Amino acid sequence: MADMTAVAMPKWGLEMTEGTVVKVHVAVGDEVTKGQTIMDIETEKIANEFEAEASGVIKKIIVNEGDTKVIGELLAIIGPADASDADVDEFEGSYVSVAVGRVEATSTAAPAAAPAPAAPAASSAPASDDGSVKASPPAKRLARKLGVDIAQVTGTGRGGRISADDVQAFADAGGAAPAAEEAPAAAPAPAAGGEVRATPGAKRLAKELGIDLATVAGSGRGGRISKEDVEAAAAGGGGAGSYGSTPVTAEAAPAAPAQVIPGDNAVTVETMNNMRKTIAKRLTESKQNVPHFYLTVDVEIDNLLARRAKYNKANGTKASVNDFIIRAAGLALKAVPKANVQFHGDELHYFENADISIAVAIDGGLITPIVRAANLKSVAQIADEVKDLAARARENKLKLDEIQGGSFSISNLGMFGIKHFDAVINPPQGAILAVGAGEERLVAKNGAAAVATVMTVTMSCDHRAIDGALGAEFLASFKELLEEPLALVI
Amino acid sequence: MPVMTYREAVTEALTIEMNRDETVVIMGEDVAGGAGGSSGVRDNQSGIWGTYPQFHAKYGENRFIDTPISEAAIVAAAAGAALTGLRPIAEIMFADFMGYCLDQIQNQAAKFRYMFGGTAETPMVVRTAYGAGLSAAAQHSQCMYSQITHIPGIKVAVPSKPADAKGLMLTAIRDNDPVIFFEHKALMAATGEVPEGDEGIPFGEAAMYREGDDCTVVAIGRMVHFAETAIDSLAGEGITCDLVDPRTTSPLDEETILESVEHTGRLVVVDESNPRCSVASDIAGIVASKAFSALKAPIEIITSAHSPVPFSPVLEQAYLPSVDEITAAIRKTQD
Repeated sequence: MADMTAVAMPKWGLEMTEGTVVKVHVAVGDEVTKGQTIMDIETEKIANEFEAEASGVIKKIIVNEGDTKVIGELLAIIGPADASDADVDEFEGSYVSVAVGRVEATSTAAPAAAPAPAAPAASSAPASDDGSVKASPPAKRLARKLGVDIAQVTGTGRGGRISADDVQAFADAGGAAPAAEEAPAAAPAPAAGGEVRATPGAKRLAKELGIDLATVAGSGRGGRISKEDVEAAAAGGGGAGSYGSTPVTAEAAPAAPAQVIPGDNAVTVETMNNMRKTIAKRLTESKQNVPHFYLTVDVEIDNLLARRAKYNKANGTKASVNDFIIRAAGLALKAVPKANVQFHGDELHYFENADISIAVAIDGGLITPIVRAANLKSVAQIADEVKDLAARARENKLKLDEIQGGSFSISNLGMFGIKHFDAVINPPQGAILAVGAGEERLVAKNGAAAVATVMTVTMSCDHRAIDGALGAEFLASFKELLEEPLALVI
Repeated sequence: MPVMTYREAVTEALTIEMNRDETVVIMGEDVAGGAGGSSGVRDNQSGIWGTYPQFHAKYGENRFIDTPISEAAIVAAAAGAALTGLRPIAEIMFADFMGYCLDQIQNQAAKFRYMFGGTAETPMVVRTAYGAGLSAAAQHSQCMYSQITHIPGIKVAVPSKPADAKGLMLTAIRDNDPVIFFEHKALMAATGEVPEGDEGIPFGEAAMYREGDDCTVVAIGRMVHFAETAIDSLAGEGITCDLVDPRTTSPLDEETILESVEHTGRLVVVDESNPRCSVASDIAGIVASKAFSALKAPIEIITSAHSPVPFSPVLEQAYLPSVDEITAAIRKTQD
């Protein structure tokens, strides 16, 4: 048996799958030597001589001239002269072809044109369509399932391609035919029996908080509910309850039957711009680090108002009360020089002149341009400068040296009707003056009631640089200048 | 609809574009051939896969060019021709030879548009035969599309069926970017229905050859056929599957794959590539990171063995994925 050699259809070339035996040059019983041509075989591409791979006697020829055989199929058997017929039959019976590419027979050789015709209940070949609507296959499947006309759906994918999510969204918005066979599995609306799609974390949290997942809107793919969605639902629900007092539709006609109060309070998120961030940072630092204390005086400004009117008439100017206040503060700082101070850790810096920062409200914030040497400038000069600085402040056109420095600030909220307030110091300045509105008030003069126009000012002082007595001294000087304003205009 | 072989479908696409656009040219080793044979008649070869019958007679030497045996020269010439106004189709006889021309593909063609700030285009197609199953042995049976898919700037098509071969080839030739077009050598004789006309199949759009509910099978190239057999054999067990054929690995239709997994909850990926850094592992990674919560079972990845391709037919069959392996994997996802 070991001496038997199989003569099998050879594989010539990569693509050969079968060959035709054109001529057989030997007969049973012939002795052949290795290398001797025993057959002529033709393939699709070539015709060639087929040589014996071993020496011996042709014991059996299994193929006829003209037969076509698959590669590896047995064509003949070569064996020793004394091998019996039984041996030959046994060899033939046990021969196994090591044919290559046989798998093609089941997977590709059979026409792939008919997808699964023999398996009716199995994975179906997708229903064919004219391909005119650009949609992913799962999208088409979902559209069929939900009864959605896919041609109506707007695709959000590349080149307007429709995804399953697009189809689901369309159906959720009411685009599905009423005769849809089953509830869409991914619908975020209260699901009758269908499972609500939510992450495990969301499910756990909802259970903890006692929230019905069916009432939660999912923000994930296909409407899946995440933990964040559950948290938002919980916060929204609680929030609406506590706000309660401001129903959105308060102005609606009372006859309207159902007043719709939103379950949650819509929020518009605005990122802080650099100016706001800077203000926030500096003021927080100031409040945290500077030991503020506050001194308040009331100033009677009837004289000031009269003086202002005369001054403006005489000079053709339009100086405001605040311009006079700036001049007064400048002169007062000159009169009480120890109040004209900046704090610098171990050092206190005292200045020759009064550089006063004026708080100007601008779009989205606040900025403090500086009137330099207010003690040396006339009210008219101060008025012009403030007007120019304020205008440029609103246009964001201030130069750096116009906002850096100063030892004292003035903030005036009088035009808004504020009676009194406490301002926050701008470090490293030593103090800031908060000016309220001038209003007619009842005052006592020499034991009798009188009416005067009174303005309340509050000085915030940095206790590291200015003590109570010093602050009070400043305010006394300031008040005197304002109440006897001739000094301001000389 | 006409039925034809994969090879004939490719020929049809080439013919349509060669007729339509005279800037389309074809170059490769032995595409015309025959000049050295005893008959002396050019176009004796029609290319080693027989995909260019009569092209030499029809289109002439200027548009149908036999090249020297130098993949670097072939692809470099094609890339240069593409840059200067032609639409060349270069043939690299076996995908295994990519090494010789990889610089031209990866560093040149793939980068021209980007590095020249959009002022250059490389509308080149490189056709190549890949895959095992015909005892072509270790240096003539590799897949190579995984390595090429990795390269940004290159589009990669791996059609499994004759209709896809035609449609994708039309799109590839018309595309203004370099496309590497992988044709499985064991699929050349496979038959299928092929639509008439000249409509191309867009890149980045997968086909779904089966629909079901229990498992998603994503298969590449010849493995699509194996997967079809596997899926159909599970009908009796009541297991139905989605079969997604991406058709192009770059761009990849992630959306269809992810949506199918969201529907079925289970994934089997079948790829003839070797296991490390394959398109299979790429797809599995994408699904695991983008559809993790949809998965109800671990992803099953089926690839060839991490081995050179054996010459022995028995070992080659053991090397390749089998229908049985696929069926077993699908069943495993149902546990």
